[in-house]
Amino acid sequence: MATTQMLKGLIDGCLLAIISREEVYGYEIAERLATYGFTSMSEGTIYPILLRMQKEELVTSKTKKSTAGPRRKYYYITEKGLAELASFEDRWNSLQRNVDNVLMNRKEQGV
Amino acid sequence: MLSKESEQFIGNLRAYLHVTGKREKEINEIISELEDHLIEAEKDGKSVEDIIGQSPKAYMQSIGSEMKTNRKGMIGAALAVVVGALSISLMPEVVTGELSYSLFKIISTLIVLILFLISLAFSAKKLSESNATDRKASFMIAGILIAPFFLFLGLYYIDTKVSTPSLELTGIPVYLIGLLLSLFLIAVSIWTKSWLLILVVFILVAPEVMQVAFELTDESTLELSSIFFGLSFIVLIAYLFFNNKKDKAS
Repeated sequence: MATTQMLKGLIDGCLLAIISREEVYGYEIAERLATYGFTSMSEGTIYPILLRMQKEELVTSKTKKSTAGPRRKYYYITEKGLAELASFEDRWNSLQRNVDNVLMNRKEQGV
Repeated sequence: MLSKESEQFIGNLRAYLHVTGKREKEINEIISELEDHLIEAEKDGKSVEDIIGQSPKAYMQSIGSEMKTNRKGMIGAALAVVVGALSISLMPEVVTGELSYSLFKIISTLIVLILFLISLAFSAKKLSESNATDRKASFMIAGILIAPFFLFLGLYYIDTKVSTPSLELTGIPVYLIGLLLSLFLIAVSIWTKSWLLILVVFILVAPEVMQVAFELTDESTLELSSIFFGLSFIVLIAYLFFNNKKDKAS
């Protein structure tokens, strides 16, 4: 539960990063997330987020026939999405630094 | 291919999105995407719960809240039902140039119609959110669809027993009502891209028109009506048959 709460603001950025690398469909995104270690959240969580990111024009989608089987909805990042991803990276880096500093400081003081 | 639980979840989600007024195209998109996901997930040995979490209801709401609600469409659909019902019951009498309804009949009809719409919308939403089985759901929906018939039967019986002031219209006002209803009918038909409603009204009205035009006896009008009903039944079956084929083809 605690992890889920922490993830809430971060998962959008992770989805953008995954989509920015190559064209992917829903199930592939979920699989990538799992291999990166995000195993605590249920896979379906990505779909409401994908819907929202499409509304906000951070990603677009195209339905096309996959090599093995059904028609699938593939996701692509937009210019706006790339800008958002860059800003997410900046925000994450500084946040990570700050949290690390706090935790490190705690250790140094031997608390 | 899908497990029973998944099928049921998909069915419930589709129904939920429909009754909360989402657009058909967007519904189909998200449904086929989730179906695809569930198929692959089950192949990898995951359960529905792994995908949608603990609460199907919460998951449906999280999907629904990210989709646009087609309020205009919902109001339009309700209006279409009301106008359709009014046209079917009024038009055959409009062409005779005389409208006569007791106050009791007018008010009770309106109340039943409104109650029907509200209960249909409400129960459909509740049913799709809950995990009711298909059979239970269809029993409930069928009950709600059939109830108004019996209510109307009862009310019209009472109507013959009690006397309330009645509203009688002849001439120009009747034709104005007819014109208004026709315009509504055409608008609804263009909007829904279906001529079914106009066809039904035409079938009901045509014998009456012929009676007035050719000064037929009541008996031959009745005969004409039954021929028309027979014909329309065939047309309806053919229509449904071809529509079904078209759906399968696409």
